[in-house]
Amino acid sequence: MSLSAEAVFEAYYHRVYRLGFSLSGDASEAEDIAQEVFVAVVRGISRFRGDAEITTWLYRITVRVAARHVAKRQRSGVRSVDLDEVSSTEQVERQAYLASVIEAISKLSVAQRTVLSLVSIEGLSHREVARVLGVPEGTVWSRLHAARKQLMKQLK
Amino acid sequence: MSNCDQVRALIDAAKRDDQSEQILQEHLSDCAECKAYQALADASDRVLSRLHSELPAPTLSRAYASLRTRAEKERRTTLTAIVGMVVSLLAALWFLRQGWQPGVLILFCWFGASALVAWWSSRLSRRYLALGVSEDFLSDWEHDLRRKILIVKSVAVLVGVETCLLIAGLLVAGLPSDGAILLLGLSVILAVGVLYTMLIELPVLRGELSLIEKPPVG
Repeated sequence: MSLSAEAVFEAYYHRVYRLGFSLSGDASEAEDIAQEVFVAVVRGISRFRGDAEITTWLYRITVRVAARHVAKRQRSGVRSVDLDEVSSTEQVERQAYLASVIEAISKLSVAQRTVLSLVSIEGLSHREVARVLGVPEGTVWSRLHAARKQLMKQLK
Repeated sequence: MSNCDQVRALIDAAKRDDQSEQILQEHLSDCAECKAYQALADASDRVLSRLHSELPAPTLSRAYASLRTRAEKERRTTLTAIVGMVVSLLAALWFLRQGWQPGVLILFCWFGASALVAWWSSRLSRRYLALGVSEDFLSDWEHDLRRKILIVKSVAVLVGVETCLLIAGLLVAGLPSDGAILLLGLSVILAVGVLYTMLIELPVLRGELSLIEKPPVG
């Protein structure tokens, strides 16, 4: 099956954007990350023949691009939490809670965030995540467990 | 793979059939560790689902338009580097015919720098593609970053010292021609580029490397 950059964009943009958000914790940065990933797709699309291969590749490139964004942000010292304007007390509480979740996720390593997002948000199996990261399945679940424990500890 | 490993894979599976569900429930009634694993998984998945339900959906048409602009910009950067190479080469040849050796040397340095930028940007994109299909993604990524840091450190120091010597040489020699003022300006720009690489790019590469295994600080 041959793939076109447009078809890949239509099919995968949301997934890449979601993973970009999980890793960076910022919606506008997630859009930037997704666009950078798809610039790479435009360049490299001719190498791919199958759907499964491109999914793995897209997730890897997203992780790599997102890590660069996070490293840049850390360097500039700007902490970005992308939240809407709020008016009611309930909204304020909700936004404060979401900000604390983003903060807790930012305390995880990129490898832990990736495993957590791919399993819990993207619904990938341990085996699929192991293929994406190039690590044994046992490493996937141990990182996943450690990430969940740390996330919940941060939120307590 | 142990029974508990299989059950944990089932707990994290997006979908389970009836048979898998039965195996899971039977195991959970006997295994406290897997039960705790499931409770933790459910709690953290609820948190993440709530966070993602608040994520605004991107507009695909707008995203596609921005993507095309970005791709065009990257193409222009590579083109600019190629034009830089050609202009530097032609200028170097002109200086050669004029018989002014420092000009030839500096212009050839500029030709080399432009070629390096063009090569580096094309290598970066090839490297992204290669990492995407490597067997050992995380470890290859780490090696790639370490190699880049080493290259940036050694090349930047080398080019920086060379540029400073060129600037000092031109100033001491008393700027023998009008063209030398232009070359001095170009050398200053090169020195600024080297400083930028050392002060901005290098810390980002180091930060990216630390993110692979360690959580960010602060």
